[in-house]
Amino acid sequence: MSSALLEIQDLTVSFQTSQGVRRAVEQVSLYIEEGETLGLVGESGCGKSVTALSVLGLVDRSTGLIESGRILFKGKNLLDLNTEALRRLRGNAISMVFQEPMTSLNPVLPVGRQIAEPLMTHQGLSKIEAYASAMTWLERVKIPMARKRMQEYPHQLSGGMRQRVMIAMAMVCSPSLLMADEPTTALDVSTQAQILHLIEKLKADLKMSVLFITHDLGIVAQTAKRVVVMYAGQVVEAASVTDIFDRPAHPYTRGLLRSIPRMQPPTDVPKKRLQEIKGTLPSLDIIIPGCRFADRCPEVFEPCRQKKPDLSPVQAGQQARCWLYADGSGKP
Amino acid sequence: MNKHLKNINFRCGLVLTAVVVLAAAVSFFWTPYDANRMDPGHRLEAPSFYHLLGTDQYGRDILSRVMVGAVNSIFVGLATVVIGMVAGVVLGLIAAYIGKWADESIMRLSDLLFGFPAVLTAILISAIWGPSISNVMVAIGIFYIPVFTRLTRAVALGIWGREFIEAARASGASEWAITFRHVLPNLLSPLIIQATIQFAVAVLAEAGLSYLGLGTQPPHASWGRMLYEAQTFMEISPWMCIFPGLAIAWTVLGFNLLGDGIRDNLDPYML
Amino acid sequence: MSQQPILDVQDIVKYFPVAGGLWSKPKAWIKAVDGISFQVYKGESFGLVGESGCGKTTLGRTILRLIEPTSGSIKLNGREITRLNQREMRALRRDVQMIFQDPQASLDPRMKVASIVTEPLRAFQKTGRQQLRDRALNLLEKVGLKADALDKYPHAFSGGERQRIGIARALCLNPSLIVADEPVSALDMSIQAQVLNLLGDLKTSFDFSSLIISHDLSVINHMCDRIAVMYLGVIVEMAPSNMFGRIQRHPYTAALVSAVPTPDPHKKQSPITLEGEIPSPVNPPPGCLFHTRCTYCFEHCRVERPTLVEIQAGHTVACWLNNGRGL
Repeated sequence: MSSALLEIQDLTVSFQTSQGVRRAVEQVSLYIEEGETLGLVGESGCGKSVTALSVLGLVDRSTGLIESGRILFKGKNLLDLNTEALRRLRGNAISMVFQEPMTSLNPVLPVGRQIAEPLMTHQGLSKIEAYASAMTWLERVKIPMARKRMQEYPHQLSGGMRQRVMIAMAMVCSPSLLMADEPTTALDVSTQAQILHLIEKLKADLKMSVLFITHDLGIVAQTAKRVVVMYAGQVVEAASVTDIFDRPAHPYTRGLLRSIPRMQPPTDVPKKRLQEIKGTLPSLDIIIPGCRFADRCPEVFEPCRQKKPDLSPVQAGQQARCWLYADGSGKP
Repeated sequence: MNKHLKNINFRCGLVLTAVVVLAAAVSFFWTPYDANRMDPGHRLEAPSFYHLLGTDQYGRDILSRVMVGAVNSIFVGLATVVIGMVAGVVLGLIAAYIGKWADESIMRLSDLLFGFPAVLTAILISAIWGPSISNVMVAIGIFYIPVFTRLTRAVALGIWGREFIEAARASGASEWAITFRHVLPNLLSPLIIQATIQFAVAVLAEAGLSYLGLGTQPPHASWGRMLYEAQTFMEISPWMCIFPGLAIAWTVLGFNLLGDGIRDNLDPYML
Repeated sequence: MSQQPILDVQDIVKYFPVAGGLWSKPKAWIKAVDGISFQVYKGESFGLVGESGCGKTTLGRTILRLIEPTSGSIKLNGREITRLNQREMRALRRDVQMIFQDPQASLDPRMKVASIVTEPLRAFQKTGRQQLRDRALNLLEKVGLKADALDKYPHAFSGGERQRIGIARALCLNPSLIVADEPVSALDMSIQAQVLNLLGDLKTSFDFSSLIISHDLSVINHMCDRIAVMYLGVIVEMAPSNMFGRIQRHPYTAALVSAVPTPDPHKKQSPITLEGEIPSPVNPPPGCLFHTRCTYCFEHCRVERPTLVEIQAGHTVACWLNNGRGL
């Protein structure tokens, strides 16, 4: 674990809302090793984006509060850094790609300028050098007619191309960690395939680590080496990608895997009903004394509603936050 | 309602306007003195226990006249807002629904009206039909039409483009049903906000026109008219202008705060 | 399935004008739907799948005449609807209802649930208050919502519950056809399965046919009996769904299927990557619309647009490869 590039320990983040204080993220721990892709999976409101934003110190200070925890990047706690030091880190050693490229790009600046900017601020390149580098990056992310595109504005580009620009912006300073928050959710399947391929290639070229935040289990299976599953602000399961898909431990993970429609069944078997997870996502307003998944869990038993489960080892490299594994035997 | 009362603007506005409305309502049944009764023995008296706000140059009780003036102002405010809103909503809906030529002509017409000085028209109307309070209402009301037309059109265009309208259409609802069941209820909040603010503007406009002698005619009490009469005696009996002036400021402030308060309170889910 | 189709769409075309000046003629036309024909039979689920900008949403709206078609014929239960006037069309809406993608946007925020779900009923007959409430209650129960939902506003519900309200509204008049535009795309994954199952169950109990429009191949594949793939305003391939997962004849379909990430880490995919972007529907390429991105493109593809050819029972493809048999 000491070789981890990024290690988040017991991170708890809360937000002030009109209804009171809500814990968006509770005691989240995860790590990413050098050169690996970690898939962070969960549904809306599970805290996956907030976790990533906390790493860069981008949690809104007026409403959000990092209550506790440590975020170690190359052994240094990012939560101890001041604003200036964090700013130097963003877009430099750690960069981020968001879901909606249209809203994360500045609509009134040409894309070339936006890509060149981090180079000028972080690496002190001259304008000419920065623009030259920006253009090679546009070519590297496979944007045709890069020279012409440099002068264009975000609205003149297609969704796929805007996402490529975002990636170029994130990559110019050769970060050691790329956090991609649902980078392909707004895109079509064929464009998604292009973008996934691009991220994969850049990752290999630059030997960087990737935190891939997504709700799509297909993408996780295809890109990640290890997977962390979040539910209602907590990590419920962490394991290697093969264990997650072959031997899911937490009932939520199992439920998700059974509930997604698949392309597979090509045979003439009649279509079966999907095995759905009952109920709805819990509201963060309500404080749940026991397991947050208990109300929807098909395997719920006595301790589940009374006490919060901890992450328990299931087998080497696999943990689940579930009372089924609390005895440490790794068997339900 | 509790949530609404948390808003300080709304609370202040509510209190201020409630005082005005209450004073007006009470004046129908009771005023300290008859507002128009002259009393030569007590001319230009300073505020005292008998005349709380003093008397004017004819010995009329100012408190009574301010109370009656409130009726006048509220009446003008209501009438003008109703004229402007009814015509404006209809025109705005037509412009938004039909679009093209109807939209173009209605909007250009309201631009024209917008560009025309209101006071000039009021003088014009008074010159033709003679000065009276009803003419003032018509004059101000006409100038409110483009305000409400533009608002209605802008908001209605937005609503008509929303998916629930398409859903209603797909359900088989007629265009009338869509307008009354979906568009109008969703228009309500912005219209109410605009109406409260226009109400305040109308109070101010009526006072201005009456001051110019175009509105309420003597001996009826109107805050603007009272100010006009007070200016000659400003130095010897300042209460004559202070109190009607204060009443105007109070009312305008009250309605503006109320409007802001409603805007702040609007449930974001509901708009 | 050989009887008269519930929905028979023939050669439907929809061009949108690109506005010139205010009074001038349109500068150009967006060819959103450019000649599409298909049938939906009784009890069938027909799926239209395609990427953004392929015209699938326009097509769905055109079939309901929420958008007027430029040309072509649409027959609903054997009756031609493109020439009906507004009144006649409104009467026909009893029989075909719609489920929308975004349950937040498609429910009037100022209307209570009871009014929302009975809106179709009120549009067609004068019904007493109590009857409306009874009907609303009955519908809510069918879609798995509690009775106390009746007097709440849409914002009090979660996304999945809102979609259930939208479904209840569509079922209000027992329509024979339901058009669902991306019915689960806006929902969380654990909720998607619930809604997909609900739609499947209701289809059996209410006995309607459905036209499902989606960008999500796995969803379409799960829900539908037959699938048509759209590209740039035309159908390039049509096949029964049990065949669809195995054989794709059109290069575009093949690329699309290969690009769906498989939720199985042992099957590492190498998607067939399509180069470039979908061409503009204002200025579509001549010949086969897909030829600009097709790796198999040869001379003839650039000249003439292929039509759908039946290569085996129920499987048609529009491609010049192998004498019109596709891949």
